[in-house]
Amino acid sequence: MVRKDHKVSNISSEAIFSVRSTDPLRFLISIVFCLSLIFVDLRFNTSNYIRGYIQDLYSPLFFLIELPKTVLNNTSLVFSSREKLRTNLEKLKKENSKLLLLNSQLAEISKLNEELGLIWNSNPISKKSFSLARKRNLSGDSLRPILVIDVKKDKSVYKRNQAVMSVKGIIGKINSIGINTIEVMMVQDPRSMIPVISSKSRLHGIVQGSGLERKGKILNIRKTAEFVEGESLFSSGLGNTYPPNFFVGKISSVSDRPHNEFLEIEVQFLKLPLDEEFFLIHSD
Amino acid sequence: MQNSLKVHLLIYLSLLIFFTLDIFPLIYKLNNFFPSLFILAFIYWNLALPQKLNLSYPFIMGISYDFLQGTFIGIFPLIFIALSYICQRYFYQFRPLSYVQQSLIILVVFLLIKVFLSISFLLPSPNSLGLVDNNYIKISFLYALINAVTWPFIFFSLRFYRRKWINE
Repeated sequence: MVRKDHKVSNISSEAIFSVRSTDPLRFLISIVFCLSLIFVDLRFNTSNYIRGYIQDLYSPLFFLIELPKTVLNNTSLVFSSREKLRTNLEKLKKENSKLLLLNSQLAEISKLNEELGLIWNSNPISKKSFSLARKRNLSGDSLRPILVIDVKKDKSVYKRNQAVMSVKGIIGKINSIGINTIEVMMVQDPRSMIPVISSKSRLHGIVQGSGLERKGKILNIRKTAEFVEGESLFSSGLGNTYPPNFFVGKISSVSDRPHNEFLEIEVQFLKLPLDEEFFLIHSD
Repeated sequence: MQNSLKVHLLIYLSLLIFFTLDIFPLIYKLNNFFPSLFILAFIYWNLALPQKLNLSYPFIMGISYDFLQGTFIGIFPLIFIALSYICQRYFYQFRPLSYVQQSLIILVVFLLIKVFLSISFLLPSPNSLGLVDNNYIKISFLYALINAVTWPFIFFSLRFYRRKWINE
């Protein structure tokens, strides 16, 4: 038996089989080590270089979790009749043609807007600058929400800080890139800041998140600014991270408190992308 | 030596199972209240086999949890090391307590974890040091309560597992 496993009585030299607790010194060293890890990550964002790869390592776990659902879906497909599948296909074709029609209309409208000089940034965004990615999971931590998406395309296309969007507006930006996965920092994250322009008052500001299911806020707005409750906020394109003119959120309240030297403006972000399966990544 | 390796593998296996269960996608609204089975299992092993759990356990598990939750690297290792130390220091006192008393301690522990997680290290605002608001306190209390209620189930299931497979 190893001496470490037991104590020896000084009186009778017999073994005392008591379990020793962790050495306080080792505990202290570990705590200091953890604190230094936090500091290094805070200061240099070191974890962002590996987070994507770690998400790749977690892929088998997510595959395992999704397995029963996939099996169930595939089994139901095996038992569904050819006629039913054909009807579904027809329905999808119709929807697709509707979407194509809408797309062509939108292209026409944006062209007209551009001619009228209404678009703030005169460079229209081309279709080629977007690539499609599929959602893998959305973390449940309300204060630090992360979205993990799977990508199949050439990895060199993606870079950190590229904007990720849904059909409704901006969802977040790329935080870390792995082999087949990308970790996205969502707009609701307290670390996220988006330069915005308001729809009615045409004022600029920076929106910061405060966590999921919480309202964001516009930072450091002077009390003389005339933001209006209910107006929409669009990305302004400043800072070159987010493309301009995409929906970010809506101003839900504007309050002027005497103890605060700035206006307190709350922003309601887009609803969480719980039902959405695909997202667009904007590359330059 | 082989037996020791088997014990470590079995402990890691149980923790991996609970880790997988923790990331199981539920209805989103329920995610905030879903008990952290992995942390409960970690507490159990620290109380049941403190001599087997060295500091590598909280460190490896904490780092994995950090990547999963999106927190800064070091936050969960810090929590797990502190938990591990407290459990290993006071397990003689904890073991004879009734399940209700144990659950109450678990409630306090989880409440403290939630409060610690709410500290915003990056952006301490002038008004508050953290991201705690009334709603967060309510959610945290409910989360801690659910974990406290779940504790006896985890305790019995892991004790059964330990007696059946580990024999320590």
